[in-house]
Amino acid sequence: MKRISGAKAPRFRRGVLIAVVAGLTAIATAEQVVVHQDVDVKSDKNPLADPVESVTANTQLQVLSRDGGWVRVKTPDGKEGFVSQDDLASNTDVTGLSGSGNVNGVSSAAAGRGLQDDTEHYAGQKHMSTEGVNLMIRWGNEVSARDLREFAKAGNVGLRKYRK
Amino acid sequence: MKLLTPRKTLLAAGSITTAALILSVIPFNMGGCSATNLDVATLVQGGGKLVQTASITEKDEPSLGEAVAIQVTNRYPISRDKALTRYVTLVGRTVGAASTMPNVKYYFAVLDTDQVNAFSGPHGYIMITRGALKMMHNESELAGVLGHEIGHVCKHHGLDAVHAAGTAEAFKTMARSEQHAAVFTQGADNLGDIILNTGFSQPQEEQADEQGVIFMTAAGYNPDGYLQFLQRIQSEQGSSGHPFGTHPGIKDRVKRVGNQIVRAGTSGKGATLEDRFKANVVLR
Repeated sequence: MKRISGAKAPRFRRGVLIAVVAGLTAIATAEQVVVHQDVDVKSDKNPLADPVESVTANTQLQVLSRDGGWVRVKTPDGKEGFVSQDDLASNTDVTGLSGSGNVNGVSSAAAGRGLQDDTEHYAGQKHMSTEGVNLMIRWGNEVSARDLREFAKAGNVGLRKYRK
Repeated sequence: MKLLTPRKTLLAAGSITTAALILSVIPFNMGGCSATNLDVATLVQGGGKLVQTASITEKDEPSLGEAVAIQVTNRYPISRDKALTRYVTLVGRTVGAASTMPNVKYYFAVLDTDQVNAFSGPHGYIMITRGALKMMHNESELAGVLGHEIGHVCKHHGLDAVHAAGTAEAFKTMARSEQHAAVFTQGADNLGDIILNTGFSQPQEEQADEQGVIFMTAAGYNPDGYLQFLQRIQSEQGSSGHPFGTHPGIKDRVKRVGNQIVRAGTSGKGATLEDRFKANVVLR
């Protein structure tokens, strides 16, 4: 076995240490997110794009990158695609930094746990009913990406590249 | 957008007849001078009464949007017609998918009022009145009005209005933890007032028109639909419907939208979907 000796040894050990630390850091910061309801992981950054896979509520997805309001993810089956930040539960960061508030601009209402803390506080302070907005959100969440694709297809509308 | 502002006194004067409805509307957003023209930095430097609401950012848009939706749905009852709301949502999301913010999950509601209006809060909370739907003839008109509202969302007009309005100097002395809630409350109040009462600035309305036409066209709808809807409002108001002198009103907006469509060469192209609209928008 070839030994590393002399002045090269500390440099080698330092290199190994850096590589190990970098690897551990990458593992520790590999972000996982959870979808709050059944969603399509899409082939492109658009609600009308074809799905690469449909995942059920509470599925954990690995974050590959973020772009605007879109998150490129890898599914448990290894497929890659895009989901909107609005499809994600807001407190799903496995690094342990998650909180109950708004993370990355994700609407917690959209994330299925009720209105944002700020909004709840505001409505309470003003003695305003949240019934209407909650109904709006609930009904909106019932309209799926598939419903939208079928609706667009039936009317031959939607972005041209998704019209068939 | 402040699509049309009701004249409550006229509505209160008698039963809701077609004539009263026509009289109850005035041109889009005629009441507001441009809040965005305020030089907030100058006010701060000059020791004025306002300071910039630095703590309200794009991250707060979902909360602001919800707060706007709460204010609107507390003023106007939300329709319980689920099928109608679903249809409006599908049309709106089709346009939203062709917008510059296709990632946003847009939420829609129909408001049970004969007033002709539509409202939008940040991050895609959009409400349209039954009165506005009644005035429409086909799906492209609906796509145009929803496209206009989505234009406000994509241009962050709500957040801009909150920043421009500023917040009270007194908040500066509050503890950081209290400051955000206080600033948010005032921001939401200010924005609600703009959206429900004074309207966005005229340049913002024109920008939303422009964006809406681009989005609806990209979504495959005939942009003439939006122009025709604006023209219908204009004709029902009459040629004198220009009560607040200095700002360009509906007439100017009709002209701008018409010119935009001519320049783009998209007139007469795209879906109108009158049958689908009539099958889904059944108003009693």
